[in-house]
Amino acid sequence: MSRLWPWIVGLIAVLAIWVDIPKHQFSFPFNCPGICFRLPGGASGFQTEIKTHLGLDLQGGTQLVLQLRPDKLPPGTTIPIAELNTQARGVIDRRINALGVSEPVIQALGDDKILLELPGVSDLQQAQEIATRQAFLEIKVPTDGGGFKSLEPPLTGANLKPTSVAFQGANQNQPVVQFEFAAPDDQRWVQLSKDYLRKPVQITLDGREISAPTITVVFTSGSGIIEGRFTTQSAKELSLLLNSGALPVPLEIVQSSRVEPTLGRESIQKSLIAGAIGLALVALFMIGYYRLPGAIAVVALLYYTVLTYAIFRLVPVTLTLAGIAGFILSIGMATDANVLTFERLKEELRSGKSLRAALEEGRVRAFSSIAYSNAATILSSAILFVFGTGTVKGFALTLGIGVAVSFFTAVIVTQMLLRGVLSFPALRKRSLYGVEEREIERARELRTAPPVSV
Amino acid sequence: MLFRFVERKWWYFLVSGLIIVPGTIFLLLGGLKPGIEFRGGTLLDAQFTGAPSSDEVREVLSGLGHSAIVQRTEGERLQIRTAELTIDETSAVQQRLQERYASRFVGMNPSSVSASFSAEILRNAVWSIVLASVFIVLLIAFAFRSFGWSAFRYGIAAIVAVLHDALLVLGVFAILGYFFNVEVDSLFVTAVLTVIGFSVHDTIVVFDRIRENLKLNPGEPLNPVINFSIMQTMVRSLITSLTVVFTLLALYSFGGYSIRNFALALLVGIISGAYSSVFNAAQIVSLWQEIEDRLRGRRSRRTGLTAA
Repeated sequence: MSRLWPWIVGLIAVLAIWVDIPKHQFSFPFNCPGICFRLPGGASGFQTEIKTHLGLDLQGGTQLVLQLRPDKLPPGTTIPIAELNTQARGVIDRRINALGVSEPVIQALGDDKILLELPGVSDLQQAQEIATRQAFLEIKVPTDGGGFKSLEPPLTGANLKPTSVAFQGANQNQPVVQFEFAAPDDQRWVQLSKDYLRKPVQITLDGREISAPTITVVFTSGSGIIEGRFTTQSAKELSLLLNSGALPVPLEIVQSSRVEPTLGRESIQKSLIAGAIGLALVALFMIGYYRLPGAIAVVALLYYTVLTYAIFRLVPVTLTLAGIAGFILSIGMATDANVLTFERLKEELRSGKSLRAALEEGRVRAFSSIAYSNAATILSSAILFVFGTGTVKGFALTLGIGVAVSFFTAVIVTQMLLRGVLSFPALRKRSLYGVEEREIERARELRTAPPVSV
Repeated sequence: MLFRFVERKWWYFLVSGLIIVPGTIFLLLGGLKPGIEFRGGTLLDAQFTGAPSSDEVREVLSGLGHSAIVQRTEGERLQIRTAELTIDETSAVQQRLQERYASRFVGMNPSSVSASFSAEILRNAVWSIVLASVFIVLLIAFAFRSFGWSAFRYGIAAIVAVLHDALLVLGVFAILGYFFNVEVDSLFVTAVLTVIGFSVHDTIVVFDRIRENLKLNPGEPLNPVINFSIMQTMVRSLITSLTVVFTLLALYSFGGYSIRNFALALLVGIISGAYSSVFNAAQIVSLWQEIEDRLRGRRSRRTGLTAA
């Protein structure tokens, strides 16, 4: 097994570097960007693009948390809230798709909330429109008093076929929205034209009138047109809203935030600088204090950084400012495992053991402390991840992944490198490991005396 | 060459007290300021080139009917805090700033949280603290499971050390909040929880060594063993904390404003955690033993008297 490790470690390093390389314009060895698996001869397959996923705070965009308000529905609605949530997300998804926002996030937060992230959208008002316009179309009929009332049951846009924009008028320049009811509402629409012939009916959207045409003929099908005073743009928007469907429940914005792309880019730069400086400080310190093993720890640390970043790109983990902080913090924590190993190594060396024996003994004795400490951090990250919201989740995830990877690098990679270094006779001097010969002498003397005295 | 860690415990306790006592006073004075995440409201983080004065921007806001607290953070950045604004109101503010300052106004990041949602975020934060505390106590119980009867005092000492660190971070931020209006958000809670995890582990490493050395030297009095054990583990504690401190210092100095307070909370907590595991935790165990010895001594004297 131990003979295999160098190969495994090396292979992982190569793969990690390949994943980390900014964008694979060259698609070697796969004939697609990123990673893809295709069945020979078949078009179907798994394909994914490898890239760093940046959170809204880094790439800019808008985030909304929406609260479902079933209490605002007409009494008697019995659809369970989880179902309403699913339906509402479907509607929002269709609206966003029609707009062409790339990589939106539409996610349920419990049953009663929806998280909406729109990268690249910096118009909060537009986001608000997408998320909260109910687009609830209803046809109302005239009352005797000159007003309008709902039918029983209400005739709504729930059964509409896809609508489209058409042009009417003398010059064919007046945009209107064509619609058609599907069964069974088409029969009601025909019946309505019989019941209210030569009377106005009202077409309302979210309770507001958009037009009130007078019925001049008895309809023969379920189709009709809405003629408001539309511009081409607003007719298109209405058609889009109707096609996406109405939100099944009113949504209220309980949290909103937007980050401008320029300010996001600034944050990326700053955290990259912070990460590089942090890494450099740790590297200088480790080499200064532990000498040769310190240098090895730095190599392991670089390995760790490359591998963790590759995992972030592969999973993918969406990097936020807090997430990067977790990553940088985990660089500091990753050295803990090396420190534990090296301190044990020194101790064993001082007690007069040979380098090889001390290394083995240090590995065995440090293992439980390392495992224990990593398990503790991973568990607490897990708690933060489960209970935290947005930013906290990002931090917990990167910290947790970072610590898990550091366990691998400290136990396998550092040990492997140390053993490898020992095969060079020139690198076998104890002084290279931060232990002087006289220290070993003193330890020998001390062992004859009781170790503890006041 | 042995440091007298245990004998000087009152000095070490005093050092902790010097920070914790004022911190606690400001904590009680309501120095810990909740951010908009915890109380609802709107925060506009506006970037300028050649930023106008806070007063000027406050007037712009009041012209739109919003009363605002405006604070210059770093460089050309202003933070504007108001009651919760609707998205339309936020857009109106942005438009007004754009009109007024034209190209000097680079852009702004608005964020709003409604009162109802902030109550929920706060509840979640409290839950995660409760759960993490239970988890920490379980972790301590697990770590000291083989300590026998003395597990209790080691566990309590570890919990006191952890409370020390949490209280210290809270206190420092209460002071900062009181004087500089520094606010706490869910990242702050995260920082405190991370610090707690880190500190508990540091303390457990020291206690583990004490137990190991007590076993190796049966009959040895407690205090010298504690001194020796702290000596053995101190290098590891210090270096581990140091590397973390290095990365945090880099984050604090170069990571940008939005992450600075988070890095600061972690920095304060990690340093406090390293201090408490070396200078407080084992000393509490020793103090417990001394008090117990004294009580037992008195009792045996008393029983001696009745026998006579």
